[in-house]
Amino acid sequence: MFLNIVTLSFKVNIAYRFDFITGIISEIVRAVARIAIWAAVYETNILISSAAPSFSQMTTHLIISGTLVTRWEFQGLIRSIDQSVKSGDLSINLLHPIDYPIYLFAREVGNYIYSVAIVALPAVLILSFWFDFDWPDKFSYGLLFVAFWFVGFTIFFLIACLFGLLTIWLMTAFAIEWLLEALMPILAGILVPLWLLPEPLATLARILPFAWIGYYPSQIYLGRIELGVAWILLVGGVLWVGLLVCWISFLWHRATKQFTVHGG
Amino acid sequence: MEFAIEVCNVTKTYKIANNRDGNTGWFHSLVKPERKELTAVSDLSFQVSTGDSVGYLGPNGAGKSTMIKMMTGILVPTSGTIELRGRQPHLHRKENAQHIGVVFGQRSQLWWELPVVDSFELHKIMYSLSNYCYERNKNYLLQVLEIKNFWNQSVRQLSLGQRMRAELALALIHEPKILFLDEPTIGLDIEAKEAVRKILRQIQSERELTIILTSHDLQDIREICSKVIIVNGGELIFEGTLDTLRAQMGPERRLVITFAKPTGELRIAGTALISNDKFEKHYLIQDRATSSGNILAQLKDIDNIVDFSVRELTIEEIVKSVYRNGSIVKCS
Repeated sequence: MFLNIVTLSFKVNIAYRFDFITGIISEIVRAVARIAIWAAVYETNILISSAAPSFSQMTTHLIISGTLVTRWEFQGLIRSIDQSVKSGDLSINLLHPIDYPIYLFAREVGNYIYSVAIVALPAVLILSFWFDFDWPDKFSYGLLFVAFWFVGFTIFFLIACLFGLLTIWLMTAFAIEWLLEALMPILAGILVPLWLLPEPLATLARILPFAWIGYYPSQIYLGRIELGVAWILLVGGVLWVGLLVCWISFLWHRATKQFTVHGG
Repeated sequence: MEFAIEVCNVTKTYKIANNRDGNTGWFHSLVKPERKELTAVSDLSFQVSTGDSVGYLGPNGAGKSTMIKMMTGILVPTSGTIELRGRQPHLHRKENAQHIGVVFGQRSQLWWELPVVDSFELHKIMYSLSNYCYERNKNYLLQVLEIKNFWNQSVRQLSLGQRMRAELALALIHEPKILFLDEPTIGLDIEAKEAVRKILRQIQSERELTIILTSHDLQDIREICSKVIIVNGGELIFEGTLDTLRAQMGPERRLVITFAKPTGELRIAGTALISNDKFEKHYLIQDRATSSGNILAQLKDIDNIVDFSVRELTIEEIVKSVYRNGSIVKCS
């Protein structure tokens, strides 16, 4: 059933297939803007210590964390939960023998696969020819990166879903969306890598689940984390997944008890 | 007798925000929100036998949709119990879903952007239908509901009538025992409405479905349902057949007089004026003693009457009268 929903969701995206051209262009523009900021920083040598990565590593980090692994419109999920609560369409999902969060996850995996395959990967390919882009040195890091990528997306979905479910009580999606939009670039290390954040924010960001969404996958890709530590971090990511699943189950359980369908 | 649905002393209340008026009302509501309790369903009890088709009627805001949503397990009753084939729907939502089909006239279960077939394929997996069972039901529904022509067409390209037929088929693909229909003919033209009614009658008799139908179109009720439940203000005010309802309303009849010239208010003994148009007036005859001859005697001196008729109340008028009075008013 899960795969069926993933496939249907992918097919829905294909129905609007011409979106991909604008998607690729906007991803390239955003990546170029991020890279341009860091090119200026590297030229002036401000902030750059001996421990800092090379410029090509920084470029690769920006592309991997900003363009590839986080290429998912979490706003779409929050808005759709909010909309289905306000319009009462959530009731349709409660009529089926499937839990709504699992349905949402399957649907968003379909969206994500489309978005990565049709938008992010072509954009990354174009950017890799344009800028200095590093490929993984070792096969083991490449494999670990895929595992981190999967865990990272799951965490990303779970955080957005958790925030989205709050709309059942708060009845507003915008405030929640803005909050997540503000937190993501900083705490996931997309705009500023976590090693440049001041303490104790850097330590906090390394512990919070956002780091697994963008920062750790790109650091693993670049081989900047030792293999032993990487495995520990992977377990940490899985623990975050477990914790977030528990919160969502709790919220969903409460939501189904309190749920009030709006609009007759 | 086996009951498909048993509703026992069910009450559902909502807490809603009570916004205060005045210039500073918004500020008070923000700082110290006030909530008030709204009773949508009040101490309601009824049973529906297996294979029955029941019309669930009531004016807007009577708590019909709330009751349907409680019966389908979407909403939780504040007090009282609901059992569908022995199970409380909100406690066994997933198991319950296997045995019920639901069509909301104003909502869709189909995937909007994709061909009709895709939603059915998903339901096949979702409801764990075997290939044999799925193919058999699909072929039956494709034929009865005449959806073969648009089976591979995207849902957004369907007409409302076609979409509603597809919704019905989707709600029936897993062979539910109970079918809930919440205004299934809303927005449809006369032909499409008739088609949906005919199909429902056919499926109901062939599959021994239990049907719960809410609709503001009483023709739907008359053609599909053997029994009606009328609610108002969240309370049950009638349960029985349409004939019983008519009998309980007493000998009410309607007198309609058409005038050649504009005419002011005109009183006729033994009747109540209920519609006072210049050219056409409607009267309700509530008294058995007021005969047609009696009325004719009163009308013979009025010279500008073009036409007049005395007739039984239609079921629409009876139900409207029940809604208006909030109860069955028995007339002597």
